[in-house]
Amino acid sequence: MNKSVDLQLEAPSSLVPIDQRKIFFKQIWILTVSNLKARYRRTFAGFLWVVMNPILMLFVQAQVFGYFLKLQIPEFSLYLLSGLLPWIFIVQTLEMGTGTLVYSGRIFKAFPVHPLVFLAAQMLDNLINFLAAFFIVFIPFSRTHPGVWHGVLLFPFAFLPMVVGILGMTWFLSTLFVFFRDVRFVLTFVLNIAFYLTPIFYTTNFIPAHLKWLTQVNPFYYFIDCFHQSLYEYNVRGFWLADLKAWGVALALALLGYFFWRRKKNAVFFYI
Amino acid sequence: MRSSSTSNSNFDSASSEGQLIARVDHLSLVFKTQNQKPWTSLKDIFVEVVTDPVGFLLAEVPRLTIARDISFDIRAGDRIGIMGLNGVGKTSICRCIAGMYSPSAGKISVYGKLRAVFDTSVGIQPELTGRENANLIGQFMYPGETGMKELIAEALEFSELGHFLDTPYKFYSNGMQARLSLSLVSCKPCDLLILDEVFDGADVFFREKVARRVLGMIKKSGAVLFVSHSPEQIVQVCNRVLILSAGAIIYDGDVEAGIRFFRELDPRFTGPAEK
Repeated sequence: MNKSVDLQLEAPSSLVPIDQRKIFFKQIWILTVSNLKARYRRTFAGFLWVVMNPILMLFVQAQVFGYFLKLQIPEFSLYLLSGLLPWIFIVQTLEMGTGTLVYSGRIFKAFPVHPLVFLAAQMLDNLINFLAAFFIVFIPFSRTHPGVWHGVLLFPFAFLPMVVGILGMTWFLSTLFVFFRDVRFVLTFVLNIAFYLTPIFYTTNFIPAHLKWLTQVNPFYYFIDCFHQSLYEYNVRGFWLADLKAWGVALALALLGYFFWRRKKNAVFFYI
Repeated sequence: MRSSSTSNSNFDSASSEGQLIARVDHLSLVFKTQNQKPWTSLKDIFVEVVTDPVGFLLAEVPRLTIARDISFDIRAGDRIGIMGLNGVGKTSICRCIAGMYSPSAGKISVYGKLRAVFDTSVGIQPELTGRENANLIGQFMYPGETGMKELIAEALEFSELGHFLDTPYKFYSNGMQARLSLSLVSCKPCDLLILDEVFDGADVFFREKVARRVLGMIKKSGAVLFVSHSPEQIVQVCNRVLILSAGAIIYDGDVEAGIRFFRELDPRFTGPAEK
């Protein structure tokens, strides 16, 4: 019966009782479902609009880079599919999640609920859209490339580090956003540049040797590379190596988000 | 600290041997108010750095002390009213007990199920209906409870919102929002219930109805922390009063004596003891 109240608002860890973790994940799921309901209510095409955006982006970029610019990348559509859709997930999660602590502040000041529930629900919402868009494109695509289904088996291992890392980054940014509203503008600016610096519509072979370090310092590259290795290269050995690196980046970002939140928790509640 | 042990009118005072529900042990809560400067952008920091670089670097971080070495026990049967002038930290201390703030020093232990409500006009998803929001609020208010469906159905019936339950929450007036929230909060007793100025939003007719229900629920709950500016409500609900001032408990004891003490502290305050 004895418990410290601190546990109620700490992130789920091995120290938190299982029933607390169950509650935490149940709240995330229920909030995600309600987010989806609220978003699509009173829209004509609902879910279709959200899924259409990445599909259209994929189609346009495949035409521009593959057909107009004639980039010499074999199976360019597959390469673009495996990099662009995770990228859109990353951008949407970061952009939508950054304001979450501020905009949901009244709710988690009203009830003792962990604010991470709101961030995770926002991310899960985007993850559902990402998976739907991916499979809408992928299923017809796999009819002409039956081998790509093997790569899909590695998919869960590719998106798990991405989910953990991007959640950590969103946690950090949304905490920072409570104090500095410039964060959103800077984020948009950085993401626009990062799109061109991350090998999404070009391969690492296009990068001059003296600029290869740009990918090494780019955390997004490690997440995207897992998808390239699983779906495009289907290089199992290369995939596990990429996955290991992605987990390293993911855990670093998760720890950044967690410790920054712990340090600023009282100030966040006080300030919003 | 001034204290009194005379019994109160409405409820029997909890005996000091009653089961321990929560212990606040040398709690201190201090906020660094560096971030409370009117900086909302990097531009503001830049201006401050340029205009007064030495002052910027050497400035001491201002601190706001909310609680200073506070200790008290909450035992089964305690209905504690927390009083104090605005800004003395009543809500912050309750949030600390609810686990929302981390204490700067000291320890808080809660033995049993805790439920806390700090705002009754909050909808989770304004686009969704009152009924859908009630389901969501229920998940946050009663995490891990079984029989949630029946609990919420009963609360919705009690709220008397009728066909408005299927109207988007964003169209609700403050009174309707309070009805929904208060109906939910008063569904089920728990070991420690924290209610922070919860009656303020509801209309007069519903307030009386919900007050009866909340009082019934409070009686069944193990212990209650009740923050209110209304002396009538404090007298109605509580059998013990804590008065806070400058981050410390300056009174802990009987309700009527507490209200008299508080009136001496703040002459603007007119409690029932004056009548």
